[in-house]
Amino acid sequence: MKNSKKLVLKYVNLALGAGLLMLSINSYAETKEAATSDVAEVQKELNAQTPSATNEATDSVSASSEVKSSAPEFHDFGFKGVRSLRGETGIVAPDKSASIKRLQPDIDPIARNYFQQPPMIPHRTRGYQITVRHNKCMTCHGWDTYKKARATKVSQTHFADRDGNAQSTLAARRYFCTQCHAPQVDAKPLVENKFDPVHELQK
Amino acid sequence: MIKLFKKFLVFLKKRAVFTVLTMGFFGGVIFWGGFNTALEATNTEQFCISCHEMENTVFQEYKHTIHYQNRTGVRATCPDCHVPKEWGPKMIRKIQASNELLHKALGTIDTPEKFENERIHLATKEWRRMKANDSLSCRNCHDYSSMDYSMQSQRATPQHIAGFEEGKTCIDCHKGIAHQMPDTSSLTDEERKEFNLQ
Repeated sequence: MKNSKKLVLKYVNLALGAGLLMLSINSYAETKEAATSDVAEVQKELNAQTPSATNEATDSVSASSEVKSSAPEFHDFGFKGVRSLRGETGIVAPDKSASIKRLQPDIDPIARNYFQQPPMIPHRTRGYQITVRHNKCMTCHGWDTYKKARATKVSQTHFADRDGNAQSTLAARRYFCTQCHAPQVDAKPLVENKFDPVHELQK
Repeated sequence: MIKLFKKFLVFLKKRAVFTVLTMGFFGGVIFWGGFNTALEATNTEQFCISCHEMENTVFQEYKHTIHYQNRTGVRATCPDCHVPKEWGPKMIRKIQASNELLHKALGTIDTPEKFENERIHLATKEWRRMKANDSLSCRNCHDYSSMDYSMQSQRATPQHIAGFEEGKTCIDCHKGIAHQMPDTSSLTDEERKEFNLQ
């Protein structure tokens, strides 16, 4: 009989343990539900707000259509109005997003357009750090490395401070290469340019 | 019900060896599964940056690099470079990493200034480790024998060919690619030679 009592006690213990487990799971589920219902409420509020926003949007659209409808009057006089860089987009309409320009892969050195022009960078420079600790550009363009890397060496002018004193290291004002030298993207000129380099640079 | 349970106990007593083996098997499965799960949990980026020492310094620098964000969305997270993939070396690295817990407690790099002072020390340690295993964690993805030189850039092709011919390993040149390069001016000439620095 004693044995069976012990067994019963064991069962009771087991049942208690299971009950506790269920309780904890339940409470966890409740907190989760509460969280999700919070999100749902915020969503509802947002939904309630959006109709007014869309109204405003339609207002602006109608405004822009009015602008367009008045355009033919100008056309009758043979005058198209001033076309800004934004193109035909109405004043209130959102601007068209610009196309993404891509950095070009490595190419040969880019010719200069005028003598004082800092040479442009004919390669990608993503991840090249120019920090207070390290200047990545100098691992190829430095005086000690340019021959091995077959790169252009950094000009001697970059070692002079603003008073013209020669330094043994890059001058602080010339340390940040990308302030003047820039990698090139595949962008076409926005406006036509008739600039011609001087004879010596035309080759 | 109680009788049934009693019968079951008797059955267990009669087949003690069987019972022990079964319990050992399932216990082993649970223990091993738990151990591996815990180990894998410590092998995630989320775990690494759960300390501010990692999140505020090296992780912020890493976020600007190609291993964090790129065209195809394939990423290399902290353990991909800093923990070996094979089980044995991984265990050794993990045990070595328990040293980091000590320094977390000591607060060796718990401010940006302290971290900056230790940067060269931390970096050279990692450079040495990668040099010793022939940049294994790089090569897990960047296999030298699968590189198509003709598809590399104008500058990369000759450098890679020459580099591999000289028996160089990735880390010899590709330093400071996932975190910022330390100031190397404090290194001795021998160390500069060891790390292939000019």
